Amino acid sequence: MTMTSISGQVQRVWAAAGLPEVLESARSAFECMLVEAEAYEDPATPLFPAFVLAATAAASGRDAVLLAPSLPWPPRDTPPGGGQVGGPGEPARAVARALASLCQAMISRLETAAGSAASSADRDVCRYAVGRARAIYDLLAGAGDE
Amino acid sequence: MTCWPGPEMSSGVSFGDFLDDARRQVAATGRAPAGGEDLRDTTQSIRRVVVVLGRYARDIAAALGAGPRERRDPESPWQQAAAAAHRQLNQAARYLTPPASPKLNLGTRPSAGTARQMDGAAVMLQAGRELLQTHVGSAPDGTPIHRTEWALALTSPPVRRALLAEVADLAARVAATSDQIAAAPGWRGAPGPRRTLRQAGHCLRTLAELVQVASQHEPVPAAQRELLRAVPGSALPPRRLPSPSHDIVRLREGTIVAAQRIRRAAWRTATQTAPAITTDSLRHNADASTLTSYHCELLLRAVADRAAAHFPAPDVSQEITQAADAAGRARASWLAVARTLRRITIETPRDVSQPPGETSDLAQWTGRLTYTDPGWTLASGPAHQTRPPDVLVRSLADIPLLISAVHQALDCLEANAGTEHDQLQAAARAGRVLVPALSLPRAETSDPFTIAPQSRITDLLGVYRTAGQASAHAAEAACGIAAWVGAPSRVLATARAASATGTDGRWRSAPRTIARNGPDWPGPLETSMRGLGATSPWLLQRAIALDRASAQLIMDAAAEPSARRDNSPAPAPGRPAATVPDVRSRNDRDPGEPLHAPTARPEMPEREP
Repeated sequence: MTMTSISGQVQRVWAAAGLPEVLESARSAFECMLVEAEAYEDPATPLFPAFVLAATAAASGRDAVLLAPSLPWPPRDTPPGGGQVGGPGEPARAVARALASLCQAMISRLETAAGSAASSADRDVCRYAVGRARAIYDLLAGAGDE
Repeated sequence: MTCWPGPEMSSGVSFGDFLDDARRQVAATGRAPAGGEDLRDTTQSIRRVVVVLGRYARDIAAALGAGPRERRDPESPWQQAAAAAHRQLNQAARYLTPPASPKLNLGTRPSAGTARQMDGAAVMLQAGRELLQTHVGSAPDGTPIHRTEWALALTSPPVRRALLAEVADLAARVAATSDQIAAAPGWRGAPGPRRTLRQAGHCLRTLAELVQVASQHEPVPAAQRELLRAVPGSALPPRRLPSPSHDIVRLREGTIVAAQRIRRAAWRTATQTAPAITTDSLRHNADASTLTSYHCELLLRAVADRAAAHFPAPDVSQEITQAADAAGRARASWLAVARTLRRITIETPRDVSQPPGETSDLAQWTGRLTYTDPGWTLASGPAHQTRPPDVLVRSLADIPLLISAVHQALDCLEANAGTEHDQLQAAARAGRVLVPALSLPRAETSDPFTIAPQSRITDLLGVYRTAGQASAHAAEAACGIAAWVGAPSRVLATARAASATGTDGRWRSAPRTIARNGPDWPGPLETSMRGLGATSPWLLQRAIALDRASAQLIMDAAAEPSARRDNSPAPAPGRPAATVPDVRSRNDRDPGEPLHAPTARPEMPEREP
């Protein structure tokens, strides 16, 4: 369930065409990362600090994207009050790696979008979101390496 | 908000150092003169000590006579003793004052022997008084001026009594020395000083006896004297971060300094300047507090492991494990705060930005203690190995020192919770707490963020209250261990008791919600508009916006350093939840503006409100 959800987000980010779609996929991806990271905030695992900080970075990224002028509003695929509901069913390290790969996709697409957006506000949002995605990647990439 | 630095991590001296030095110098003067010393010189040096002691007595008498309890009980032995001490020291100083004579010019001669020792004692005592005054001064009318978080404890009757007991002890020693000097042969000088020394000695002994009577009536606990002696200077070490080369000793010290600085900042926020909160600052602090309490939990478990090896009785190890459990509860409650904050945002003025808070420093210091990685930071990768307990605690002597660091770290988290709870309360009253519109069921707004509904505000304040209580309980548990193992941080509990700020008293009385339906809602402009029969949503919403701006202006004025702070409730403008558009759109954002200032989009309402 969790891994499916994350890999679906990865595909969506890569498939996004045009700034509005990139922004919408980024918003959805940040929301997904927030939910998934929170599901793995388990102090019994050594990944606890990384997931705590990653969840907050995801919330900041989501908030930033919500301010982008080119973000379609309301989002097409988000039910009111909703979002994906995750839960620990997969190994934490595998989820961390999956979220890191989602971040890689977001960094790539948002960097491109930042370079081509006409509006300075959109560019600022994209750059900020890249920063948040990179922070999450740094926190979660390498999980399971040791 | 009250909080105190611990004694052992103040890089400078503490008040006790000055007391000890003064006592040592007074005691050293009890010897007979080596010969050739002038009794008039020595008498004047003794007078200098007496004058400084008199200043202490004046401070104490003013403080003991100023409190409400003392007004109800003006004849208490301690108040009598304080007033009498002031009188007796003044009288003693008068006896020792030389008669005006153009022949006397004692100040220009270097003092020798006994006189030099007494001069040294006077200097030490004056320096000690100045150290105390860095924490609490006094206005011309005698009103105490609180300068640091120590002020509440220092102006408390128990600590004032402890100070008076120290003054009496020193006075008794000076009296003994004066008698000894007056009786000793071999002094040069007129016989007059011998008589004045005996008279002054009598005053000082009387003082000491009166304080002794007061002590028998209401003894000064040893903990209060210990607290007094532990008072450091008010200057804190500068902010710093751990270096990879820091060993465990330095990491313990750095943890305590970071905790001290956080307490000072919390005290300043609560009593002086209240910096604006931002979404980022709140989230960073919540994450850092979560990780700090997590690290403290791990550190305490490591200490418990070593305590089991070092102490034959299992009690200490069990107590430490219980403290670790309490730290775990604090960690869980801070995590709840972090999660709640991820679902709200604070509307922030354009020009407000917050540098990273020092709570992140504390998480980093405690993290360096916890993990083997000498370069660990909050941004470090996914998992790190913790230090083995026998590395963290190499000997029995390490246990109280590590407990002190953990105790200090946990103690300052409560201060943070209190400060942010109060700031969020004010923000909620001003309608500045927003939520993503998508997070609300049936949200019918075109704005990305909208005013947080009452239930979310209640949840938010509730999680802060829980975190504050859990942090206080964790600190209390650590304090119990500190007292048991003789950790220096045990004075924190004495300071709390002296200033009557219990562990969670403030949280029991904290409001659980923001009254939006009270008499302040709707605001005056909106009320007037409705009274005029206005039904235009545009007009009504402009009125609401102006009411809100007025409320914010009042909040800003209240946050000014010069504003009066009497803990009275801030104005609470009413705001209908989730219906009021804000004053600027997403497109209006300055490109250079930080992205932590989301606002709702202003649009003409299409429906009647």
